[in-house]
Amino acid sequence: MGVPRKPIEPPTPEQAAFLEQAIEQYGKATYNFAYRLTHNEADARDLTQEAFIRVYRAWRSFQPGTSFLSWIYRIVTNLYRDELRRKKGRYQEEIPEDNAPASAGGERPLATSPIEDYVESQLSEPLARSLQQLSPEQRQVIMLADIEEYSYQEIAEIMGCSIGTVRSRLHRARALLRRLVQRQQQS
Amino acid sequence: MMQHLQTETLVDYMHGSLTPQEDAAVYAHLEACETCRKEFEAEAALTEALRSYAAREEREMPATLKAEIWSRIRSADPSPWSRLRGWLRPAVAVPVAAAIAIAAYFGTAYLGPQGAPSIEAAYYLQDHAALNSTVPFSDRSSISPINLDNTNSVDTTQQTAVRVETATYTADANP
Repeated sequence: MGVPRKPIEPPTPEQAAFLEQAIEQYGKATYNFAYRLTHNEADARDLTQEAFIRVYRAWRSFQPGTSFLSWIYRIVTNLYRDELRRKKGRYQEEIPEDNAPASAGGERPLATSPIEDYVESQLSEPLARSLQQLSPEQRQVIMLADIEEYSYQEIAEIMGCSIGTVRSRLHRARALLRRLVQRQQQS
Repeated sequence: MMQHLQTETLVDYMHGSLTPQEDAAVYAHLEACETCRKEFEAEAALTEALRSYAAREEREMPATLKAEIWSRIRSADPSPWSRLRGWLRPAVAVPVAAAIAIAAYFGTAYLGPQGAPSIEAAYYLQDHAALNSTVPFSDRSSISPINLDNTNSVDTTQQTAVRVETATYTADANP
């Protein structure tokens, strides 16, 4: 990923502690958010790295009591948008390798029955393909609203747009996703 | 005939983004309308599928990523401001300031005698002019007669200085 790199100040002890804690607590969520956006491990990795560098630089601007995750999601969103503008296209999807998802043999986060497994696997594949056919903004608004369960207000802040835009984007994205999933299941 | 709810309203209801009044109205409608209820359940199923998919796809952050972030921070070139701040740290700034102060103090004392030559030269020239006024030709044996044409019996300091230079020049030219 070609994110421009600015000089970085050496860390103060407080700054180092802040970053350390941020990575510990939110590294995984940030990486997963980046991965769902890009669907590409290398890009998700770069995006996460750059996001935490931004957090490190701007750590004093974080207000205690506000949601750190919303803040870093916003950073990731902006970085991703900038990168898309630069590339004027989509990130490349890749086949998972070393960091394979739970569905590829890793540990399951939730215990489910074999029947549920089957149903999920039947739905997962069409859903995954359909999600990839959405625009980055549509995919993102669905992720934030349905997976991360943010309110429209929070999504508007993260995506840097109005609540009305969030609402209309979400409605269109969901309608399209439903059509795409149905088409995938029929074929 | 009952008017059905729009899909958008159901989506907003599901995401909790309606006003309390609208929310209550949709709730009441769903209790009474099976068509809308089925539509709502379909929307809810899509959301549930998305969450299940996300949970299944959830990954651990790559083990080396944290080290890469720290490595980038530690290996990055500090900004010019950061370098300047480094110099302004008390541990560096105090000894540097002390060294400058000491150097300034002793440097001035050392330069003191060298700062006076112009005064001494002026004094010398005045003294020399005074001597010339009493014994005009005592020290001009090497100066050619042409240079002595405009010599006054009482020289000013400046005139004496000019003559000394001229004498030196003449002596160099005619050894």
